[in-house]
Amino acid sequence: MIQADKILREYRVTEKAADLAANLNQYTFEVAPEANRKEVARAVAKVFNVEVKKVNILIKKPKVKMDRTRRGRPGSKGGHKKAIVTLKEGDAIELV
Amino acid sequence: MKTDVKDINETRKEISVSISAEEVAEQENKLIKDFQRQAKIPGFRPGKAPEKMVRARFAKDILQELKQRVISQAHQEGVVGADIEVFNIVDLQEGAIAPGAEATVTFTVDVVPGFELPAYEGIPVTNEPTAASDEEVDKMLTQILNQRAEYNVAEKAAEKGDYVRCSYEGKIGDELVADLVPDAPMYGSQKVTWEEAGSEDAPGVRAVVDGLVGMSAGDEKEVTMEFPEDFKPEALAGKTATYQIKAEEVREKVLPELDEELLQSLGAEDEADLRQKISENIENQKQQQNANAERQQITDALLKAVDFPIPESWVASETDVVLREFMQRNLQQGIPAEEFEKHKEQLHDGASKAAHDRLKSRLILGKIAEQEKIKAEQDDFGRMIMMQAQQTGEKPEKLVKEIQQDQSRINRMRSDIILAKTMDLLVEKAERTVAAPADAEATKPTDSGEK
Repeated sequence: MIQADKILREYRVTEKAADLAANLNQYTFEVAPEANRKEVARAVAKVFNVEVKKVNILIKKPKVKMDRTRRGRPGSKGGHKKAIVTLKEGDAIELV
Repeated sequence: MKTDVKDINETRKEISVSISAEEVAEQENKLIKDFQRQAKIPGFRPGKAPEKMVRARFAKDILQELKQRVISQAHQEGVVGADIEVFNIVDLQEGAIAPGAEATVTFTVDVVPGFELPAYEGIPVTNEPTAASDEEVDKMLTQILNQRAEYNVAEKAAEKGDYVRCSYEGKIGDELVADLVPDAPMYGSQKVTWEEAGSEDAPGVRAVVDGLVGMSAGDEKEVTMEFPEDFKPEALAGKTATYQIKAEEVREKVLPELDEELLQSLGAEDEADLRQKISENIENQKQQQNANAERQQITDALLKAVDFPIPESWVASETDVVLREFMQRNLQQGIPAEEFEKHKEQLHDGASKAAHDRLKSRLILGKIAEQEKIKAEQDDFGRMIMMQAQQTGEKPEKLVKEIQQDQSRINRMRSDIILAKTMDLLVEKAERTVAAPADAEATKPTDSGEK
């Protein structure tokens, strides 16, 4: 099993994530590609001391981009595993 | 919102405005909305950042801004909205201002004093007769000739009216007068100086001036001077000093003949014409003096007619202005700055008195202007700008541009114009009497009202 702080890579600070957090009590993280829902739920519960109701996981595929500085050879951009964690009503994660 | 006014003294009041917690909260909400609209936070388009994040990120700025808004709201409500004419805010105490809590803001203000206008129409003024008498013309003529006089070296004993180059040294007992009054070398020792022998109104030591009569170049003499009891500088008052004088050179004053050449250089055809011109000049001068005197008399009358207190802070700031003007004038005349330091307190007292009178007359005139509905017109501004342009030697267009950018300058100009126009009105309506005319032809100045 991977360490909790290795699973949670980043807290997403975007308009979409902010909307989810404000309205649906859902918090969005970028997580390690090898982590699964159960591991993410455990990690969030442990790090933020909250109760997790549900975890949705999705993989954002990397985009292939031409790199002009390398004579047009293709490279890649972006790509990560994203977890949207729904917390029990009343629980919240305060991160700014 | 509640406003509470307390009198400290006649011109100073304490206004405390308390603002309820809801009102503060309302202000804060508005403020946050404003912040949200402008906040640039990575990950969010401008205006899309959530309120919570904005609050957390800009907590310090928000609190500061909130304080300002609450104070300005209180100012609007308590100071501007109140039915007292506030001149100046002397002190401001805001207490604790926090979102969701009641806030109290206390202003200490100086108010424009209320007063009853005295009767300002038909203020009696006295004019001096303006016609030039023959003696005055003669005196002027001699003065002109004196200015063109030549001073020739004369090998003779000095007579009254001759100029003598001399040196002198004053002693009281064994003590040098120069040590007693280091500030006034005129009374102490002089190495080289010109004195008019026997002159009636010469400054300096009387005995020396009188003693020079009858001395020729190279003569030496000792004279005694008894300083009167009320003499200034005080160090010399009532003392007796001996002066050792040495005459070096005697020059005789030769007045020029009033010939054609001289007349031409003065721009006159003959002597009668010159006299005519001089008398016109004197008359003009007197009329000008009368016009000034009228204004002074009217101001004095108004000042005497009403009495009301003037706010301290106002007097203080005006005193500074008066002092600065005074210093500037004197520095231009070459009086060293140390002189002012010595008489600082005296100067300050005088200036504060002058400032007090100036403000008082300004307030009275302002009120009269209000009553008479006197306004500054575009023409007046134009004239004022032209005048300033002439004085400073700038182009009027440039000056206009400068002035347009400076609202406070415009306001100042406006109030100057209004006060001047009010003064003109008062002068027009004043009742003139000519003081004991020396000449039957003495005429009243009729043009003084338009100046």
